[in-house]
Amino acid sequence: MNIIGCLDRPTSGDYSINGTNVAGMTKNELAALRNNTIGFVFQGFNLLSKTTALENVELPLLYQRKGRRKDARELALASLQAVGLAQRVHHEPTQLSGGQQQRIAIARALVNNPKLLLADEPTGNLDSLTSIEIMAIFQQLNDRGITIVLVTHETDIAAYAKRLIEMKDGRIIKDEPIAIRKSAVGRVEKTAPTA
Amino acid sequence: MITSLIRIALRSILKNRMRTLLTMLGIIIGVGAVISMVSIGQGAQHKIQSQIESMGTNLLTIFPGSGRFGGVRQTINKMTLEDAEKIKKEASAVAKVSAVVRISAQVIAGTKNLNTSINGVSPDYFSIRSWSTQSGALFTERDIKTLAKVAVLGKTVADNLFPDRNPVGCQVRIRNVPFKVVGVLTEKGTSAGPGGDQDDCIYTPVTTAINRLTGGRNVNQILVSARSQEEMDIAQSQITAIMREQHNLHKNEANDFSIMNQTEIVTMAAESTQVFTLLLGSIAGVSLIVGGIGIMNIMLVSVTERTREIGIRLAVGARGTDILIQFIVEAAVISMVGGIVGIIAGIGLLILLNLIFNVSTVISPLIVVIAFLFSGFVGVFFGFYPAKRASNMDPIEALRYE
Repeated sequence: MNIIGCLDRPTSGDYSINGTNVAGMTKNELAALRNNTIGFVFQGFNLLSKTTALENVELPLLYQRKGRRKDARELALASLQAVGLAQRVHHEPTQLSGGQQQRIAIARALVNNPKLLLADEPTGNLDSLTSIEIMAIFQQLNDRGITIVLVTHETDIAAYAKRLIEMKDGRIIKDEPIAIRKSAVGRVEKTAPTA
Repeated sequence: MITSLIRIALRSILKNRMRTLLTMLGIIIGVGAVISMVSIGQGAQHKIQSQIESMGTNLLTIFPGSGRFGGVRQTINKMTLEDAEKIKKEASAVAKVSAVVRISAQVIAGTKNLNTSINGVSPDYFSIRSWSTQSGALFTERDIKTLAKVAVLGKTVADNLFPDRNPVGCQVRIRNVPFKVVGVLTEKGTSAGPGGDQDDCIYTPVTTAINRLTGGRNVNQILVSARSQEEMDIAQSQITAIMREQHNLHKNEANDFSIMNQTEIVTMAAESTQVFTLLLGSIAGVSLIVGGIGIMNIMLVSVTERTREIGIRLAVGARGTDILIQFIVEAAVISMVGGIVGIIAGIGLLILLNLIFNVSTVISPLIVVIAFLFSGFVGVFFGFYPAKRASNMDPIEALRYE
């Protein structure tokens, strides 16, 4: 997962992104790639503490090479709106629930309009109901054309994907498309209408 | 890009107010100390210089020197009034000359008496020392010629002998010789050198003093003012030549007089106070450096403490240089704000010292600017190492750090 996210470089083998081999890239090029092409969602949320939701979501925009975007605030707001947190923009992570924190993390990952979204056990720290909410957001994003790579131990979470790759001890043991994707959107409306 | 990095740095400074404040304190004390110490030093320098200048401008003083007679070294005074007259007549670089005869004597006025210094001088003396009367008038060349028994009183003498009336027109007796008081001098205050109170004295025409009071022919010193600062050296060599001629000295004979140059005294005093200022400044400078090390300390702790934060920033696309700049800016802002507060604190301390202890201080804008820039430099310098460590972190390890 770290290699896919360009946080780490492979010690053996090759990994190409957009046709470029990562091995030949400088640290700064990798940083730019993380900034523009890839969005991250972690199991532990990894939000800056004592920092409002809005500022957290703004963070990737502050590190853009082209200079500070004038519309950083609006983009961050739009991104928070997309995950349904428009009412919580000035709250700090500690004032929010796990699900809300994870949605901030998703908003942060989305704010730069990435092509690829990496989610490392995003539901690992959440209860099952919140997990479904998060999965609903992922499914909506996927429907908008963003590639999502999600790592999970839970088979019922995996059921929301379109393609399932099963790994054991570092090797792929199964790789098959899922014929009928389980929809999380409908389930949220049924089980948690107020969310 | 850089503006957003500064914003990031400012945000994180504000998030740790207590820590920021404590770090700043080191710099505040350092800068405040530098400014107040150097200003006190410069104030002392200024005060000493103005005191020396109150003695007169472009001043040369001729003292009778020691001579060698039959193998015995002894001070012998061969300086006379004629020497002074000759210098005034012949030395072109000299503006004003006054011989000075000085004795200490009892002065009686009515029922009051006082032991003070009696100075026989010529009217030039007052213009050399730029001294004037607060009441009455100075004596004149005519009084010199006529050996007039007139006296001009210093402020202290006037206050002591005539506490409740104007002494002008009254009589004082010096060694039983009656003198008429013609004037009272303005207050000059205490001098830096020996002699103390400059107002504790009486001036009479030099000729009168020689004839009526001392008895001898010699004068104690000759006060000379050169035409200008530039001509002081010329005046000095002219005087030397004239004095040697007057005293019939052979080529290989040593001078039987010595000349003290005021510029030399000023330079000497300036040098010694400069050393004093430098000393104070460097002690204060050390505290500024200690403050800088404090910054480095806190920043190093802060880098470790914020490893996760750095990891997050790297993960969302911050480059190493972005992290480096953020931490340097943080350190620089802390030290520069500390610098500004330090300047204010330093100036405040000086004002307080001035009010309570009447310490004279000179706050030079240059030292304020230097102290401020130096504090900024300290911040960047000591912030660099921790910042470099932060920027070299591996994103994954930083993210995993608990």
